[in-house]
Amino acid sequence: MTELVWITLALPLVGVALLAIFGNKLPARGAGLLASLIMLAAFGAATVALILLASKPEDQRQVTETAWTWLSAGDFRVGFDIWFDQLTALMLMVVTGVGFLIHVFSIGYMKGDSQERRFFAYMNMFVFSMLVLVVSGNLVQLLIGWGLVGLSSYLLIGFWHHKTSAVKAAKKAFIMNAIGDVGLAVGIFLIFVDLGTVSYSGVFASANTLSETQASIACLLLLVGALAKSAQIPLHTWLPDAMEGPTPVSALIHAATMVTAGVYLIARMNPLFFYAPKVLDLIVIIGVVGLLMAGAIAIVQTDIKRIIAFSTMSQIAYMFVGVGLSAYWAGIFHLFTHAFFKALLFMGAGLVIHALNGEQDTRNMGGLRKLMPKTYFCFIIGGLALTGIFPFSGGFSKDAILGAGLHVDSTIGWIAYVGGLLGALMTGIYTFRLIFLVFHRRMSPYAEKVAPPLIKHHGEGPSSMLWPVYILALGAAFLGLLQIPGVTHVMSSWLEPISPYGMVEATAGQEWLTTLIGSVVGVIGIIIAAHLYLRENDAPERIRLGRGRLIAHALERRCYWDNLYEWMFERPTQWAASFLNRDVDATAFRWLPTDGVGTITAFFGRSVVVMQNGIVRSYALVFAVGIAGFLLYLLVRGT
Amino acid sequence: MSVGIPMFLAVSAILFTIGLIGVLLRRSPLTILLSLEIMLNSVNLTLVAFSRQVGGSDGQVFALVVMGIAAAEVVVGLGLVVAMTRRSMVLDTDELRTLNG
Repeated sequence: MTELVWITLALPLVGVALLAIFGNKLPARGAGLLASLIMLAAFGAATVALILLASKPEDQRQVTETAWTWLSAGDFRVGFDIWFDQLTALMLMVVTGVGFLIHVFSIGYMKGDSQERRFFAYMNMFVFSMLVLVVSGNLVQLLIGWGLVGLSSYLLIGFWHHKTSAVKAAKKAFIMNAIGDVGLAVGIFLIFVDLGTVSYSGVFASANTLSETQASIACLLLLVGALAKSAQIPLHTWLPDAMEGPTPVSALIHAATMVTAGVYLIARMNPLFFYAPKVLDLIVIIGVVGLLMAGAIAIVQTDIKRIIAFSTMSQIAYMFVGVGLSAYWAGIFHLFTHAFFKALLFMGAGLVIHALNGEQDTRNMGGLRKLMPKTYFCFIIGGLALTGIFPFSGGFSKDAILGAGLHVDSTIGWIAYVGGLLGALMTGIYTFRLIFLVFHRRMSPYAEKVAPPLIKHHGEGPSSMLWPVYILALGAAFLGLLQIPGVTHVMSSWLEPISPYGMVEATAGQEWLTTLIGSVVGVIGIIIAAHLYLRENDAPERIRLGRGRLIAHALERRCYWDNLYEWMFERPTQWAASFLNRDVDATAFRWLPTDGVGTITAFFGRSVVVMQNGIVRSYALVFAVGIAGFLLYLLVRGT
Repeated sequence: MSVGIPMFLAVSAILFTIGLIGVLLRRSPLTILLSLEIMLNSVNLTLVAFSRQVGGSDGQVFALVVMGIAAAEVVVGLGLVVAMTRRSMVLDTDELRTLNG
């Protein structure tokens, strides 16, 4: 069984190596095919490993194995480990399964790009990095995977490096993630100082020796890492800009890899977070604020991918709420369903963008329903799952999180519950605003000109792009049935053992109540969206310029986070630089003639240059005299 | 008859000075290399002499290392001389001064 995990881990790396070494010898289509086949094989290995794990008795479903040891000193040991348990198995399925579908989709999407091989090598590397992260059995290896994920995302966001905006977005993502990496690294150092070990088993076994302060500081630092990687307040600003990468990259970042890492980290380290209840409360509050803010911002965005990006931030915030409430299984369940419907929505957006020849602005879309009925249908399924309408998958997982809030029945629980339902309302509004803007209404002049000939020629997209979307639509529609409250409980009982201190799980009654309220709220959101956006009217614009203009302005500027960072970091640096340039340089060195510094340097240089006469013998003489002088000095000084 | 350590040191110092003067005064690369060898071997003599006085074998091992390095150095040096001769360059270190400032 562990061999299969190793194979799953190694396959994408083999893919990277093959594409990097033999990429030039492959035909352009071959690169995508090779990368996809490798992902399929990895998915197969992961599936068999999952089945083997499930066939074991429940108390043996946690396997560790070490390939080799990197460093050891006394009792301290860091190696290349795998830690294969229920959570790892599930993550492997999501990463390789959804990753495979995204790879297949990319074959069609990237067709004709001159850099296909580089693209697929990066994609495989991204998957490999994420696999290193999730199979790790110790914190150091986790950090390595963490950094590799950041690097891969940098390479892929900036894939179209001829676009300045893409390069800027890649840099921004990398820097924001580096801040998180520092937090995570310091947290790991602290855990090592406190506990003397970095292996999961060691940390989990000795976590109870920590005082609450120690545990809280360590968990806070880990949380900084999680916030950056998962794009949560206040380290979220990179995510919307990351839309500069090709659309499959966005799907991969949002669905299978990267942003889920933070949720995974908290769920994985739950025995440590158990001793830091205040940090857990903080996670819930960050989640609630984040899901409301991102949901509100998504309502006013005009770029199709940005809307979906903010919805990701909002949904990840739901997962944070889930893990913060100690309902780890619910957070991971939402991660699981989210992977499907979010990949579905991104690929649907990819089909739309493809059909419109690269256009991403929703104002240049509209009326595509008749031209792209299949995409429209899949988008509706994804939208309903995202909104959390019963019985689509997102409904069950989101309601599991909110039900946990109801079950906890504390102030924090109620904040999570009410905030989550308010967020569900916004989800309904922004999701169906997107659908109405793209697929309903009158067709924009641009779409009328571009779309019909392209679609007549190609259809809605090549089959390599349509089939992954269909499969994801199936998943988005039905995967929630794994966990029908009171009927099936595949997820909660499967993930239950990963937390030694038990998890919060709402009763069936509470969940059904939440499902009812959640669906009603979601439908209300859809109705509001229909009222405002289904037909052309001036209501949204009236609100935007009228009573809601302050809010609209704030939301359009993404709640001023970018401006805040600009004023906190960018402006002071520029002021300091221009102060040094204009005032210090101009006043302190004003007495010098133009180019004074250079002249003085050159003068001293010329006075020394005569020593370099090029005659080797004179160098040797200087050398000998120097040494002799030094020896003489020693002799004279005596002992 | 045993020779005391001062004698060895004196010989070594004389050899070293001869070598140094050779390096400083002669202009032919070949002679300079020869002089360098003399200097290195004078140092070897000191090492071995001290080693004998102390009684260990560290100094002798050191002398062997120096010989090895000297051999390597001569290989490079003579190789340069051969290369220069082949290009019919003047074998005079004072003429080879392209590295002046």
